[in-house]
Amino acid sequence: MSEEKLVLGFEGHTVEKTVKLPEGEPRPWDLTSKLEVVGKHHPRVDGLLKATGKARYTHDVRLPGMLWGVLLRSPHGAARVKSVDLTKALASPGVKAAFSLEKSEVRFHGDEVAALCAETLDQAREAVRAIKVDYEVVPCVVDATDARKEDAPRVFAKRENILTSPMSQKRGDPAAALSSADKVVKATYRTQVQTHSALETHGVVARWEDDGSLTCYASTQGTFSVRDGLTAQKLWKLKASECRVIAEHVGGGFGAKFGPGVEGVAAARLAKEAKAPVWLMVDRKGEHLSCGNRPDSVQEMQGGITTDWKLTVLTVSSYGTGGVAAGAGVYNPGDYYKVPNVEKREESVFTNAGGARAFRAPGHPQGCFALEQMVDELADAIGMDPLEVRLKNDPSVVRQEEWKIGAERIGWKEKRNKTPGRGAGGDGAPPRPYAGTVLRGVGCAAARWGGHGGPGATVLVKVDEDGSVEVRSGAQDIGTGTRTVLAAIVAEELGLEGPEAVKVFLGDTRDPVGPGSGGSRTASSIAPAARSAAAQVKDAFWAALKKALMKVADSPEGQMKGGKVLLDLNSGPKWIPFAEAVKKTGKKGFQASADRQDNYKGAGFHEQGVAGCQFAEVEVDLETGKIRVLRVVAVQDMGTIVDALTAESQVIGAVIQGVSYALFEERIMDRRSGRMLNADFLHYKIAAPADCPEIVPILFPVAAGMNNVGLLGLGEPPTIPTAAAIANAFANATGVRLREIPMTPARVLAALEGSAKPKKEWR
Amino acid sequence: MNAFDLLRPRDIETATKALKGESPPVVKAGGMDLLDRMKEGIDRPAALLDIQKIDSLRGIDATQSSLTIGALATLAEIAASEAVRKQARALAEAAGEAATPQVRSVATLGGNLLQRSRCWYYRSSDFEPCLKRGGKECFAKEGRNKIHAIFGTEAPCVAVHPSSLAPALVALDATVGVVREKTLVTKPIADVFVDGTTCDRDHALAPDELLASVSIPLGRRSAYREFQERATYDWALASCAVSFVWRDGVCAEPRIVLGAVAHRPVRREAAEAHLAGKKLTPELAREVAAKALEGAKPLAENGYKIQIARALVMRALLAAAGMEAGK
Ligand SMILES: Cc1cc2nc3c(=O)[nH]c(=O)nc-3n(C[C@H](O)[C@H](O)[C@H](O)COP(=O)(O)OP(=O)(O)OC[C@H]3O[C@@H](n4cnc5c(N)ncnc54)[C@H](O)[C@@H]3O)c2cc1C
Ligand code: SF4
Repeated sequence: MSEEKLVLGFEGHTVEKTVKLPEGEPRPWDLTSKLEVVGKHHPRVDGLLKATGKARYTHDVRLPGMLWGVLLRSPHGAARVKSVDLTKALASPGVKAAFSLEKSEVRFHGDEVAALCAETLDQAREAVRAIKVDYEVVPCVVDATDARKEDAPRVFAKRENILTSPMSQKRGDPAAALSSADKVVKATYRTQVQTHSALETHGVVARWEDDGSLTCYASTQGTFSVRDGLTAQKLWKLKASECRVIAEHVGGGFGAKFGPGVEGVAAARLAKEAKAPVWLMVDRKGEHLSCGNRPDSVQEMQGGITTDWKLTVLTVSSYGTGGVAAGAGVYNPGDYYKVPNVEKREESVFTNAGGARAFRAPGHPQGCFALEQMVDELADAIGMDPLEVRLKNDPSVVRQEEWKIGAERIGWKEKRNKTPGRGAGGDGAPPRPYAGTVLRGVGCAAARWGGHGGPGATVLVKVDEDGSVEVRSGAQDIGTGTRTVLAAIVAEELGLEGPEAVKVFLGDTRDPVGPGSGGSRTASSIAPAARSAAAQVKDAFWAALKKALMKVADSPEGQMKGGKVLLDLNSGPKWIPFAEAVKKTGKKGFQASADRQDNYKGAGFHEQGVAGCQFAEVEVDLETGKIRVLRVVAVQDMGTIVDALTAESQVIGAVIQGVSYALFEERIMDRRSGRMLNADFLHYKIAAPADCPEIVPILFPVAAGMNNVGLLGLGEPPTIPTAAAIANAFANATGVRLREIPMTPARVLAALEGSAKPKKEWR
Repeated sequence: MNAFDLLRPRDIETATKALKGESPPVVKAGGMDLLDRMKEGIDRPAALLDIQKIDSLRGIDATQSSLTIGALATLAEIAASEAVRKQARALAEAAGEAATPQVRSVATLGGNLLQRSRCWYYRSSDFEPCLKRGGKECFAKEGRNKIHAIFGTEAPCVAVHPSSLAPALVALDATVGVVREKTLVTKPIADVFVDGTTCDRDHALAPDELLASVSIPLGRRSAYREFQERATYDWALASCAVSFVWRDGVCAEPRIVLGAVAHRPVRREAAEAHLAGKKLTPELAREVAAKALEGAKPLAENGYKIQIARALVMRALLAAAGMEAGK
């Protein structure tokens, strides 16, 4: 153990703190660190490859002799499978292997029934139609409210449809607090089922090697979890060392891509039976039906506030459905603000629909949508500015600052509509025809998250004798910029010019172990290991240099910069290129690998979680019910900024997904048949470029002293508050609360109509 | 998708002859709609007749009295045509707002008018065939119907006609030229569409008929407004095309047509009568719009379309008269 004195915090709020470091760790970056590469805007190191279509995704993998796999899915919401006849399919042109999954029942539209592979994709798709399945259709239920009823069909014969979650919360005396609060608001908020809709669908290309080992290219957020899922199968005997998973580039995941999935196991099995590599990527329909979703929610909430702006109590009773999976909980309401009395109850309800999977901040956008509207409604009840109420009750020193920055940037004071529903807000005249039918307003909401990362990652850094630098981790980059982040860190540590001077290899289980990309943990877990390894390489390089030349500084500190190394040669001190310096050591190169250490006890900036907040400005067309989001200002705590460009890109992407969740996306189910009606990208609507607002990402760096890099995961938090901020802005524009998303024209018009005379629920 | 034979004739005669056979091929123009249905497996034709090589079906010609557009003109060409923008503004607006730039550069006029319903029950091969696919039942009436009809909902099928161009052309009083064997027949475009009692079809053309062209008489002011949930890449939930002869500020012979609210584009005669011979004002536009939506009988989930359509009528009228606020 060694000790380092660090200067932590952020501008205007700094603290000194001594942290204990495990042996061999470099001094953590803090506010005094002078960084040359880290913190700047760097284009993605794989940006050109991606922009030119040369980056190879799993979808693009073509192996010699490869066959094409397709899954047969249940067309029914629920049915008994009496028989599966593969005879005709096996006799179809080009078919090389087929098998039934031997299910005795299917529980949702899209449930997998059988698989086959053929010489072409068209042949495979045609052949799958020739599989004859004898179904006995049984009643199904797809709506959480219906599924809770006494006489609802059971999704699982031996289980109740309702699962009460243990994730409940209680503190203080909520009942007493509700009766003593100055104002109480009761409201019910509803959110919809959203599917992940990653651009690249799930899937695997599997090949059995001559030595009996298995190679799988997989579109995944967890190379190692795919490997472990495959080796756990009883269909074959494989050791971890005999199963290699490769994910060079991944077209998004959002939480739904861990493990091999039915499709991955099927690809490997087909490849084994057909004795040829098999490509099996799920199609868009299968992706919507069976590859994950964010559960919906109905949240009955009560909140209490005092006339001196204190939130005193929050209760929520919620239910929702994750289809055939559990996990429909919403985030704990009592963790954002200092609320002394909290109570939470929740139910996950089974329905006949595809199972939920983790989805970008699971439970949070739903919970935030309810909580942050409730805070606004409570502020309205006492006639206060909702931002002031937040400032009064928010315990996070980081977010206190963020609220102010965001408010300034959106123009909160000028734009906030003083008479909601009655005039154009803020900047005056409505911009489009029909003066008086378009209203504007602004709203805000908070986000909270974890994301410091942790152990379970090893990174290898190598400098070759020609001075080229290589970084290796078996973890994957799912589009978030992990490659660029690692390159920037190693470039910083070795004093190289920039990320492009470092070659990063990711997504291959032959390389050192790394985490799955969940919980915004990838970069935050592997970055400190990369820095440690680079620091060790640097020390070894310096020692060798000293040995070879003798006349160099004692320590490399300040002697390696911009790709050059300061040497004291016979001719005097001179900066020479790093590669030349490496040559001068006379060594074959240097390499080190380092493990991610536990987080240190930092300065406690994130005891209330990682902080973020967003402000939205919207325009509502009162005649058509169309909402246009004009602008979103997103302020996000992110620890140390490593690459500002990929960080901003994460924030922008998260806000787009949040806008899409707020306005468009919704799984539409036919209740009678249990089928999803919009398992496509036409009726399942995702915000298109023209629907996106101007997005202003404001990165808020905080030196927290938790590990040697201090980077915080950023994938999830910025998608949490967007919908809530938009809903609050809608209310500020119209004077009407819309407590349900997506805020489609139908819902907007109904809400406006239902409140021809704005009625306030607290009266 | 099933394997199929592909015929690629170079002239209309060869094409219509091929359509006459025992099991005739299905016409393919841009293929945007047809191939979608084939990929989903709800249509599996054994042969396709690709008409893209028939040059006489292309082009946009303006004469003194009319504008004639070939069936193979793409939506992009129509939207960009100076002649169309000047003489048939509603059509240019409809073609320019439909779909996406990519779709517009492939989708043809003929294919757009003859495309099949977007009803999600009809389009899904997982459903048993509904009435439109020759089955026994309509699933939408008591099912999920936020995208369905608000007029003619007593008919067996409550799907809406998806074309944006159709209401514009009906409002412009266009005619279509249809070839069967060697005969060219001209008829009002309204006759191309059918109501929800003819539920197994979305248009009245016989399988051996080829739509050759559309002609628009000149001399009308017009405009088209539509409403989509998204700003692009979406179908209209409701649309309105209007046209009238402008005589000293007075709207004569008005035609007001709603799209995406019924099995075919629907003219609203009562609203037209209320407008005829009057000077348009925003107040009058509002009254006419209210009349245009009289008689709507929405289903459980689509009552909201009434309000949107009303706004569109108002906006289209004011746009055609050059009276859009803010201009
Ligand atoms: C994402 C998306 C969004 C869209 N949005 C809109 C929209 O907003 N508004 C809108 O109007 N449309 C929209 N469309 C539909 C699109 O405009 C139509 O699919 C397209 O116009 C069809 O034209 P096509 O030439 O490709 O027709 P095809 O698919 O080739 O043909 C369609 C049908 O017409 C028949 N046919 C075609 N030409 C002839 C002819 N000359 N004679 C006889 N029969 C013929 C074919 O047999 C076929 O049944 C959208 C489509 C997509 C994919
Ligand atoms: S509305 Fe028409 S197309 Fe849709 S399900 Fe009913 S019959 Fe079929």
